[in-house]
Amino acid sequence: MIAALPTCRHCKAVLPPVQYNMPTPLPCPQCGRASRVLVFPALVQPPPPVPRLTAVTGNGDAGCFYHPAKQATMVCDGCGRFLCALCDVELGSEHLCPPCLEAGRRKRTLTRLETRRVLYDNVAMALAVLPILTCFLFPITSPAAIGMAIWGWRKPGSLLPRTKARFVIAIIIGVLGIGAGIAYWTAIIRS
Amino acid sequence: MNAPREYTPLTRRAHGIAGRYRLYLGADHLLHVHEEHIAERYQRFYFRDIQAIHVHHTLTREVFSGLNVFALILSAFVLTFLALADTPVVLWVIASVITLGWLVSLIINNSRGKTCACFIQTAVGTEQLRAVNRLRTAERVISRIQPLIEATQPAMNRDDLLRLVAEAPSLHPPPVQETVPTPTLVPPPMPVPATVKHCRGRAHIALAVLLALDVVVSLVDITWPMTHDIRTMYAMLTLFAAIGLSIGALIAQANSDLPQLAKTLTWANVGFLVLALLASVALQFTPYKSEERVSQLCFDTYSVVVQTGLCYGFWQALRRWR
Repeated sequence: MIAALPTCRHCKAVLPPVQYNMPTPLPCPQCGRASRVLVFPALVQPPPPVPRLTAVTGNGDAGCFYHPAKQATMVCDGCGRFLCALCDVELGSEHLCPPCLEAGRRKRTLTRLETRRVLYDNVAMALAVLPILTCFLFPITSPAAIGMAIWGWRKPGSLLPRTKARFVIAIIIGVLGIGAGIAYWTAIIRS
Repeated sequence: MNAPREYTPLTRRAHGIAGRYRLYLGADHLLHVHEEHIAERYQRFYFRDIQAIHVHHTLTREVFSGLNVFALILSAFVLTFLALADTPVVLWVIASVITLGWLVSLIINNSRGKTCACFIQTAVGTEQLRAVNRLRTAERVISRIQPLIEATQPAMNRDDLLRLVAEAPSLHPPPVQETVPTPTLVPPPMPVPATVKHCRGRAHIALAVLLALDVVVSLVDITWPMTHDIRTMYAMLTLFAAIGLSIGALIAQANSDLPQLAKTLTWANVGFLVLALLASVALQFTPYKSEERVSQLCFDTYSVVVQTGLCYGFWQALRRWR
């Protein structure tokens, strides 16, 4: 079933199928703006069939762990339990049972389910660097930057390759900020 | 031994108002990353779910180039004035850096090629890939991912695919929208403006002649300076004539069959007039009264450059017209 046909970005008119999968961009018949449309078989593919549950016949068939009367069709990649078609959740190339899926989401071990991650190294860097604009905030933000760097060091960071350099730089700037603050106040007290 | 990388970058970072964007290639999906300074947001598009990819041309590059050229002319004008007038060197250095910045920005923007907006469609909806904002990048990404998508989906040639698409809407009509026409295999005829009048471009030619005349007078003024009164009188007369002819040209070219270049140049001339007026007003308030001759020289020089360009453009646009 087709969810929607591709439309022109400018005039919102549906682009005619003669424009699909052409090697060069073609003008929109309504507004004349050039666009290139590539469609794939998924556009016209019927929805996947509803899984059929079959009862255990008793001839050496394994039953589902959660529905013992139903025949198992898959093994959970997380816990190894037998699953029927109803309990099998496909996640990329993995097959999981609902409890493993929920545990993976909660413990953040299934990265494919994650849609957002906090970059603690960027937070630490911001705390360390931004108060340069307002020097009087250094006594608060420098220790906070060091604390954030230590706290976030072992937290899961970006899904993409990333070094710990920002943490190290934030700690160095934080230490320098604290040192400068101590020196400044020592000089004031002595004078 | 290093572990294999899970994601391979497909594009460079694209900067937007709300952060930075980048597209990565995974084993069985695309990962669109939106960096929001202290967090990252991820969108995954599995190859088996991708229904369509649309790439639409946009005019972002042309708009930014126009703004860049405008800023470059303005800052170059200021730079020349500061260089010739008796101003502190630091001001000249700052103006030079700013001018250079505009120039570099213009070069980079044009060297990266045409801009586009890329969309990816799945059964859930259509999402824009903001990381893909140049046509060259879009072509590279498509050539990389198209075989991967086709490998994960059932093989189908173009004719079969188009036949199924053409048949499907009648079985499953898409939601009706107010402005969306019914999809058909034959593209509907291009909309034709209601009344297209023929324009001979006389006002444009007169405008081009006036600009050419002004170029000659400006060159004479640079070589043999005129007296203040004569220059003021001439400037007023030229300005009024240019405004009158520009208005006439704009009226004549509306809904006409005149070449697009001539129409654009008329608007460019209007922009130049506005800029010249602003510069004249700014020069009245400049603290360097002793440098009036220098500022006049700068103004004349830039007028000559811009007006010569406009004249040449009009000549190119109208020489085979009528």
